[in-house]
Amino acid sequence: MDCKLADESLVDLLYEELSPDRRQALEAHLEGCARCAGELARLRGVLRVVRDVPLDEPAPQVSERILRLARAARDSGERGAAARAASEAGAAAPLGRLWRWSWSPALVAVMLGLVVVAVGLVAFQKLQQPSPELVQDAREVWAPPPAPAPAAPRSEARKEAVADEAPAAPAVPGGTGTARPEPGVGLDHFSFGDQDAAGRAVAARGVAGPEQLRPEERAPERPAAEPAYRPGPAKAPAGEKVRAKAEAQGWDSDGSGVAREERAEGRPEPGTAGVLGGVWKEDAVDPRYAQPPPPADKPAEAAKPADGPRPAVARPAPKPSPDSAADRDLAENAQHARRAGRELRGAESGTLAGEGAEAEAKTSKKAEARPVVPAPAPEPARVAESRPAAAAPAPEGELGSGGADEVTAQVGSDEELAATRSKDGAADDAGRKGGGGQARRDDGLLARGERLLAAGDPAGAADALGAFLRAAPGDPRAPAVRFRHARALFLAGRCAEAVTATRQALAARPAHPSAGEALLDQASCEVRLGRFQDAARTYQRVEREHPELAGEARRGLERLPQ
Amino acid sequence: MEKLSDEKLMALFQQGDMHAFEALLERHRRPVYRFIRRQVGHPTTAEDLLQDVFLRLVHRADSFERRSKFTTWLYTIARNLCIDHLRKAVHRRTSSLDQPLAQGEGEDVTLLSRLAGDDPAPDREAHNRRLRECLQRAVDALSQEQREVFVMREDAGLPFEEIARIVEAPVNTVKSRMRYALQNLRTRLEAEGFEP
Repeated sequence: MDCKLADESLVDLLYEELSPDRRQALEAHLEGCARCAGELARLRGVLRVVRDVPLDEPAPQVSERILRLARAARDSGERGAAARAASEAGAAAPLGRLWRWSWSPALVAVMLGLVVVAVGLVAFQKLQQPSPELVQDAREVWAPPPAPAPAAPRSEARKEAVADEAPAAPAVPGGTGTARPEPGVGLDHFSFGDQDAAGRAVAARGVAGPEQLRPEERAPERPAAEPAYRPGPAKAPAGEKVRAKAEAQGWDSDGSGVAREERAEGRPEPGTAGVLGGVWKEDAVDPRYAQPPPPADKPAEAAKPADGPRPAVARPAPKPSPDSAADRDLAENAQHARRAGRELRGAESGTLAGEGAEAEAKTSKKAEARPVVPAPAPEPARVAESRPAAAAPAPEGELGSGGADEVTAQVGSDEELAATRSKDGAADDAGRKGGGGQARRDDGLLARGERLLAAGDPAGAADALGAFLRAAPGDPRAPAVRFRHARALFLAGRCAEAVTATRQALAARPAHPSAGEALLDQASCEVRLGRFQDAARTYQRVEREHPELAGEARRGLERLPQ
Repeated sequence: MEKLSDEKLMALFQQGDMHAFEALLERHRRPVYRFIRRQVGHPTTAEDLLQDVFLRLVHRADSFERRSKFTTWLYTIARNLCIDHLRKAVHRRTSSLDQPLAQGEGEDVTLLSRLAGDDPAPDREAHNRRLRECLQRAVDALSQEQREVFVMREDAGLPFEEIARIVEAPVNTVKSRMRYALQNLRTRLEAEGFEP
């Protein structure tokens, strides 16, 4: 073995990673080579010094904290998977029920009966009125262009027969036969029954489109602030009534589904589904989620989805039914509020928030009146200067500084839990009344913050919790959230903000269960900021006020520069 | 639990056994902490990153394959987090060892003078503290490649072949880095007054 090969093998020899053969060869070389032997001695000397230094150990609290967070994350993951599975099952369930129900013997019998009756009626009509003249009349009525054929006077019975045989399309604008709706399209606006009624009404007067309606028949303009969920009549007995009702609720008499005021303003309404420009089409936007953009000067109104003007698609159909858009919206509002309540309770018991929280947070960001705090800048001190709002929460309330599951233990008092539960209930009630948007957003922010904190995204958590505190400074959970916010800021490395947030949280609740850990975090932040004297004072305060953490505080003091 | 291999414990944890995770945490928290501590320098930051490592382990437990070596996977996570942290730290304002401390403390007082100290350490504890500080500075002065290899081998006890898989470099390259790391440490320690 030469010096080059020996030199390459010295490290292996140090760490006993040489094969016996190579080891023997190397040792033989070292016996006769002072340079290589000297190098080996020097390397061993370095290792001796290195190994002479006692190794650092992580604080015991770190392991406990990791275990807590790991359990919370694991639980939330399982619950998340279960929720997703339940959601998928829930989505499939109505189809499955419908499938099973559709093949039930009773339904099959009813359907067969209906078919028999329909065949009988058709046969009866053919027997009673088989006149070719009637067929010719019908062709004249429906043939393009829309102008009615100057046919000979027909009896009312014939007209009614034409209307009965004609499709429901006459309610569609134009009525020319070129733009008829596909069956099933636009059911949010008209039921088949309504279309039939409207069709009969139009056909009875021998007109083919809305342009032939008499002006005096048009209903007055609907006021802009008309209540959104005004129920319509139970049944439209006649075509005129149907048309009048439709117009009274903001629909043009052509049945296009386009609100008159929108057309007058020359702007399309978001989420509108209906006939636009004479062509029947469905908007890609789900009308249940289509809401007008909040006016910049009225954010509070924007936060109330059930109040104020609604988009055309969300207006109720003339005939109230469980499928109407209004009912769906109302039910959905209540469902949102209940879900927000569940998420909040889940977060407090260690459950991380569900998928909906993120959407809630996004919605709240859009609707929030005050400016959203920008993303954190890298330098903590500058962050503190540029983000005074985030670093200046109002002093009250309490919560913990550990993982998401710590919330349960540190929300603490029965009063707070009761307040939280009552808030959940209030959110439910508000949701049912359609005014729970603000509460939903607050809960969504809180749940999002806890989820991000447990998921290892403290910066995102700090932003979400900060947004919650700014949006709901008087919330009974706010004092506890302040400790969580400070913790998130600390973990995100935003030390200056964390120090300020911790001081204010402690000023409000000096006896909070997390006060000691919060002080330790504060001291760490002060060290990172180079404020060693402040850090020393903070560690000494921990020693005085929190004996259970005195060891950790002493270690912190020892680490400080002398 | 104590006699089970890391891979077996991980398999149990994948099935939802939190005791297995607890055993893994207890087994690896010290070496992983030392690895991180040597990389980032600050103990509190190291503790935070240690927490991040094990939480990431929890979140990505399903991605662990049983044929893989657990420590390779674990230290890859730790290494990536350290690299991310150090990249971010580059953009943060860091205290220079030679710049004066806070206003009002005098122009001559620097962090370096506080850290080093001129007085000879009278007892063993003080000596250890000073040696530890010197060693930390020496380790800090190593290049990233040399430092991570040194720490994984010396503090975490990983064999060179495994380190090579973690840092994705040939084994001989890893050994060379180790060799240079030891030589550089020796030079730094000698400069600080510690004769190896």
